[in-house]
Amino acid sequence: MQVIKIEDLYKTFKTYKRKKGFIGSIQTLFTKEYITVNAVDGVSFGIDQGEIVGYVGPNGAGKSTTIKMLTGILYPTSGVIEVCGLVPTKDRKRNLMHIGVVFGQRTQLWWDLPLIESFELLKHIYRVPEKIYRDNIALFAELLDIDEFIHTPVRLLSLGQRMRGDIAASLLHNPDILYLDEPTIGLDVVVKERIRQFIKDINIERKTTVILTTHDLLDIEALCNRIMIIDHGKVIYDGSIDEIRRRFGTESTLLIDFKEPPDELEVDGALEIQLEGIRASIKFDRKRFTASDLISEIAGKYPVLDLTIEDISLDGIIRDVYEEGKLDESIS
Amino acid sequence: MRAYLEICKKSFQERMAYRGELLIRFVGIFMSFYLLYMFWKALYANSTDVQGISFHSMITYTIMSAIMGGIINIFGILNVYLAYWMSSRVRTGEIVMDMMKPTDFQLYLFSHSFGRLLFNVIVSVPIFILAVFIFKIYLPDSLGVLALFVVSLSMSYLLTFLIDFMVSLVSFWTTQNQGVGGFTRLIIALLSGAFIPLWFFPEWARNVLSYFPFASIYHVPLSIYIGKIKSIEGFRAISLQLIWIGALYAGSRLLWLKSRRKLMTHGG
Repeated sequence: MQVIKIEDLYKTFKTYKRKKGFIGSIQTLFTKEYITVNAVDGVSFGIDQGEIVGYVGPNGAGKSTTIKMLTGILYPTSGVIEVCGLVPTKDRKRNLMHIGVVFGQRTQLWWDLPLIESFELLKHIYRVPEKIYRDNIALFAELLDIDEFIHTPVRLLSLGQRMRGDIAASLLHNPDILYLDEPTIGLDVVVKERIRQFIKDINIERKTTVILTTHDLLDIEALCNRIMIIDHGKVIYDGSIDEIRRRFGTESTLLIDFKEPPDELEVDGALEIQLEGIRASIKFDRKRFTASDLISEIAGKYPVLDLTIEDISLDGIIRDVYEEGKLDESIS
Repeated sequence: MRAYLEICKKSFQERMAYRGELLIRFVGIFMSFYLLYMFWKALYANSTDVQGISFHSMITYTIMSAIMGGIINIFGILNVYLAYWMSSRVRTGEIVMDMMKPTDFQLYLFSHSFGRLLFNVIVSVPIFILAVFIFKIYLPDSLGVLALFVVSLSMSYLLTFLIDFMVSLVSFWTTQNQGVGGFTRLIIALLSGAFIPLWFFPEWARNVLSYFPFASIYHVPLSIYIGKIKSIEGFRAISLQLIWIGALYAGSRLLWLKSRRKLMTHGG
């Protein structure tokens, strides 16, 4: 069942063009030069119930803007959004009742009050039945250890504790959809792992649909089966992680240690060669050559001591995608 | 409705978190009372009665005005007004977290504000009692007058909330609203009778001003308190307050519907 439907979504911001420096800022007062920014530029996609979708892209790509439109806070410039059959800006309250949102850089918790007070308030705002509320608090205590700091004022919590608090807060009313905007930003590996496991558990147990934006691709690898890459407001990839690996992760690196440093290294089929002393790293395209081709070629010419093959990481693939716009060509 | 009550409670608790700072404020508040006292004492040096108002009525008026300012949060001694809060929330994008609640945004903010009001009222009680002893401000003539004053003060609060709310919404259009906010507070300070009672204005100005919403904020409740506006006249003034509340409420809803669409939050 499709819970989110987006068709041809656009969001345009209009801002002043600001000139540089002191004189420039005075000029800005008198001229009205607008620049329009297409934060979201013709996006379409659908998401099924129970999916965990990674929504990734460089800073300013339009990820948060999309999420804000899905929550009904921002009005789309044009296009269709439906969340569980509701139009978020028209049925703002009803839509908000069955979604949960975490913005990693912000908090919905009451800064000066103990964590539990925020939970109590949310219970009333979302009209959560007492039984469900208690069960959830118990569950979050078990999975996120929030009971350790539930009576501490939020301003005294560490970032990891606060984030766990925020994630718990967003799930108190058993939402159908959970939007997580950089939920692991600035956290240590242990807390990150904890949060990933928790999201996974919730997704399996409750069939909660999760949309996750992050810059940490380990989050994506651990959680998502589907990834959407957005850049300059356009979705440039939408598919499985395996698929993206297969299509774009074809670059491998062969690391070779020689018995003695060769003066010069020439390998047919290498994309890039780096030689440092006795160690060489050779990049090649697995689609065109196999590692054994390369190895036999090199071993024939030079005395080899040791070798390893490294696959490119998902991180590396996505970085290539951002930098080179590899996907642009493959789509058009 | 329960949700709004809870927001109100939390907002009250939040204010309590910083009660330690109150003592310092108290000192500042009484210093400002003393200045007001000296100011009017100098003006009243050669007469016991100006425009039919005795020195003591005048002191009562002016100190009650300062206490009121602290209660209704427009400016003055306790000073956390909505417009300022909102402007910083919009600038940092934090406003998103407030709008993402399945509540009516205006009522949500009102509940916040009302929690602060309750806190302010409680804090104002000892200030009031001390002022009665130190500056000899007097109590209302009768329980009826007191009741009328409380009703009128409640109206003042609603009026300031609505004005403050509309000023807040300016930040949806321009990000900053400090300019508009400062201007509004200045206008209120001058034309509401907060510092200079309206009876010191020329007659034509007084007549015009008494129909403005600003006069409804300070002039009406304070005049009721010191007994300058009595019975029927008091009810008439309160009716005018009510009319303004209705009008500003309608205006604020309209502005809110327009402003919602204007929100721009980049990043985060």
